[in-house]
This record gives sequence, C-alpha cells and structure tokens, in this order.
Amino acid sequence: MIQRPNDNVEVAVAPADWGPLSALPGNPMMWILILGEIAVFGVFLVGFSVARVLDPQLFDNSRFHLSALLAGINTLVLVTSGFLVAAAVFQRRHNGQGRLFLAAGMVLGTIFLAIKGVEYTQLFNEGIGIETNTFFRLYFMITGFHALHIVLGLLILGIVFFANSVENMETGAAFWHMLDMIWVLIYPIVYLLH
Amino acid sequence: MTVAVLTKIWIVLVALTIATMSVGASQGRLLPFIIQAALILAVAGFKASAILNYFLDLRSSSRGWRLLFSIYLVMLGGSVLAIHAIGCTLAHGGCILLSYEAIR
Repeated sequence: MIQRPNDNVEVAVAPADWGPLSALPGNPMMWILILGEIAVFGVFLVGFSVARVLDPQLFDNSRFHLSALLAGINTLVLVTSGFLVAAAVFQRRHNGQGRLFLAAGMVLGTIFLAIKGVEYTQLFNEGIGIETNTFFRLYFMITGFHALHIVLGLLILGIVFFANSVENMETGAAFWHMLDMIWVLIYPIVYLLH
Repeated sequence: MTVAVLTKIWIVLVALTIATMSVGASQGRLLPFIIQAALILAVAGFKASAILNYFLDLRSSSRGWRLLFSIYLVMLGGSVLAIHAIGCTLAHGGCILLSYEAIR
C-alpha cells in the first residue's frame, strides 16, 4: 500500500499482470528470453537434420571426428549441475540460502566449458575449423552458441549467488535449466544420430 | 517437490545418459536404423521433459504450459526422426528396418 502525498487515500499496488507468463517460476521477462531461445535452438536442430539429409556422406564422415564420449561426459556434467541448481532453489524456498548447491552447480558449469574447450582443441589440432565444411559450420554454430549461453548462464547464476531472493534464484535457475534441456537435445542429434 | 525427489530424477537422468552413450558407442550394431534413432530421440525427449517438470518445476505451473512444452518436444523429436527416415529412404530406397552397417 502507498499513500499519495496530496490526499489520504490508500491505493493498493497490484503486481504486474504478465498473463500466462505469471504461472511460470521466476521473472516473466526471463521467460520471454527462454521461449525465444528454445525456438531458435529448435530451428537449428531441425536445420541440422535437413542439411544431413542433403549430404549424408559428408555428415557421416565428419561426425567421426567428434568425440561422442566427451559430449556424453558433458551431458552428465550439465545434468548434475542442473540437479544442484534445482536443489539450491528448493533450499532457498525453504528458508535456506542455497548458496552451496548453487556454487557447486556453477563449478560444474565451468567444467562443462573446459571439456568443450578440450573438444574444440582436439578438432583444431586435426586442422578442422568452422570453414572446413557444412557439417562443421553447423556444429560449431550450434555448440558454440550453446557454450556462449552457458557463459551467460554462469554470469546470471553469479549475480543470483549474491542477490539470492527466491524470485532471483528461480529466474537464474530457469535460464540454466533451459540450457540443460537444450544440451540434452543437441547431444543425440549432433553427436549420435548417423 | 523435495531434494529426495530431485535426487531420484537426477539418478534416472544419469542412468539414461549412460545408456544413450552405450548405444551411441555401439555405432549402430545393436538395432535397425530407425528403431535406434527413435529410441535415442525418445530418451532425449524424456530427459528434457524430466528437466522441465522436475528441475524447473513446471509441474507446479499451469497445464497449458506443460502441454506447450510437451508439444515442442514431440514435434522436434518427430521432425528430426521423420527427416532421417525420409533422407534414408531417398538415399537407399527404403531402409527403415536396415541396420546402419547395411546402409553404409
């Protein structure tokens, strides 16, 4: 409730109405970003599949240069990070701080990037880069774009670590889980399907 | 939602990821082309759904949102599978039940 200076009428301040977005955890503004990102990555993955159909031999030969093992390990790392961030939000909702879980989740996020760096370095050492062929152009675009989002996610979680209101935690976690979910889809489509 | 539930979901996700890694490492020797692709995509969709519903806690959101995300996952997985099947059929003239090795 606020009081106007010129009269004594009390005015109730209603929370902003975001329509259906209000039903989602965290700040609705973040969900606008998340929904956009999910759509973009969906288009990337369908586009990748279409490109594979157009040149299956190139894609099959190129895929053998990727390390499915490192990508699988990265899936385990990111899923575990997501679990820790979810546990942090749970703890914060129940009067804890959730910082330990959050920090552990961020450490695993950093490990994900380090493994991604190893993967890229192996390819660069083989003389493979973004200009090599269509497969690697799409591969570097999709995984690189995702990795950049991981960097952004770590920054958001870093801010949330200090400003850890329940809404902030939910907002940061929502972005992080979106990245987790997208990677779970990238891994099989890019690394496993022939 | 409790940490115990989150832990169970995490164990399921880890187990499914390890299973997927094993199937991927088999290089298509285990199952026919389309069945293996469908299995890999179905597991990925299930994992993505679990992350949304439990880690992100969409279970406490509205039914409309849960439905929307489910449609997204089914459409994405279905599209990728259909594109694969069409591509394989175009290249090999009907390879739905062939093994990867036969396709090569």
